[in-house]
Amino acid sequence: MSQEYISDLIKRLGEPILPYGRLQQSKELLDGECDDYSSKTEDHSNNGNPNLEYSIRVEECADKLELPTERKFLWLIDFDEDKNLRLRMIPEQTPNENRKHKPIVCHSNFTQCGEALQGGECWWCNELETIFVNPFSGRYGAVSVEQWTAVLEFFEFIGYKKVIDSNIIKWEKQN
Amino acid sequence: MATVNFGIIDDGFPVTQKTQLEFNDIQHLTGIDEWGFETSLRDLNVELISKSIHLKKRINVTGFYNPEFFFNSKKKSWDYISFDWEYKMQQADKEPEDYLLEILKNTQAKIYVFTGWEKRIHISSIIDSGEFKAFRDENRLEMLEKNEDDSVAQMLQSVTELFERGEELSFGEGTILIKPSRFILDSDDFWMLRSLLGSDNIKSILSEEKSSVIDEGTIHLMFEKSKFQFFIDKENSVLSASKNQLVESKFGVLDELTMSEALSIFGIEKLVEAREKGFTTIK
Repeated sequence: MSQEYISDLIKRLGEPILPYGRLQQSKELLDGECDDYSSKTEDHSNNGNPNLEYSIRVEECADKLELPTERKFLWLIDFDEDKNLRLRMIPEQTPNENRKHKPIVCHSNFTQCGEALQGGECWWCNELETIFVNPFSGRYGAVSVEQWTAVLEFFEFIGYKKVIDSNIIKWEKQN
Repeated sequence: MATVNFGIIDDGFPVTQKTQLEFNDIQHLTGIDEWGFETSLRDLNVELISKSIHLKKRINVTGFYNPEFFFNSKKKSWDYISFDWEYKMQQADKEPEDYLLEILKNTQAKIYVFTGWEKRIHISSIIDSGEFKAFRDENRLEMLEKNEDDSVAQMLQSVTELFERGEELSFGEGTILIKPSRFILDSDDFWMLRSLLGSDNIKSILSEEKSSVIDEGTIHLMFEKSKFQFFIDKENSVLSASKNQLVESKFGVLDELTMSEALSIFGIEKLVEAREKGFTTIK
């Protein structure tokens, strides 16, 4: 892939934003939400399979509306120190006791409330080598079709062969 | 979390293999037909479980078949205890009043001696005198007859009153009192409210109102004055924290809800979910 393509992809992913930067309203960041959990995140920029302990089973993929919460990952796309795009993940159930209203990690724990391009939730099914992705992040999530399409493209670009837009499936079934 | 801990020591529970009955055990037992003559005990359990479910399980109900099991329990914090008088499996050298006194001395709970009418005179003669009198004077000991119409209601009323006193919580520079309402019950819910509206907004309203109480009225006021927004599609399929093209591409045009409408329709938990995820489906 050319540098030109990567530049275009970065552009389509949207400007790097601070948490809640895409909401039309400011939002206070609370206790624990800016704590540093970056050492607990895993870099999957080179198609590294997510932690297999959290892999969902084939039979659990059948109903894509109800993927198991306890094995959900949060994902985040931002730039590394060398300004390269990267994809990181962390199991959502990672405890963060400092967050009083919901004592598990959130997307701003990847960045210590710094900038990122996109964020959401995902599940990994190792047997099918399939990743299910949605844009559910109030802090960094996609707000346009162009951004969301670029996110899915980035997952494929770094090597995931089967990327399922679990969000779209949910919408199609509902409609 | 504000909880009321209610213990029931009574050998009238349907038989199980357990020595301590937890909430789910009791909920299960209330649905079976093996209570025999213990209809009042069953009613007490049904009412407590129902009330607790209504209050998001903020009433902890725990059952014991006899006082020995109660004393062996790791749970030590009790607000109320319902105490049956006689037990089929009690130690030969112990009388019911020995158990009762031990419970009174080792807890801070209010004890209801909940037993059959035929023992009323005998029990009254015991608990109105001697060491028990001081506990009676402190309103920590009361006898209620099984099969009396208002005995269960009286215990429920006490539980409700205790819960509705609310929960004090350190917040900002001072202390606030959270009064249970249909929007929030206690500190756990308050932290969700804070995540939605922000500390400064809450402090500002309390300061304007010269109040330190979070009740239904102040919550309404906070939402009326809030500048945050939520959006909903015409089919009521999705609740979004922003008006954005990705959601509108699937659900059509999003209309703004006032914060008061959003609160009334969805409640705080759902609004927090929409804010955390960006948008959420409405089931």
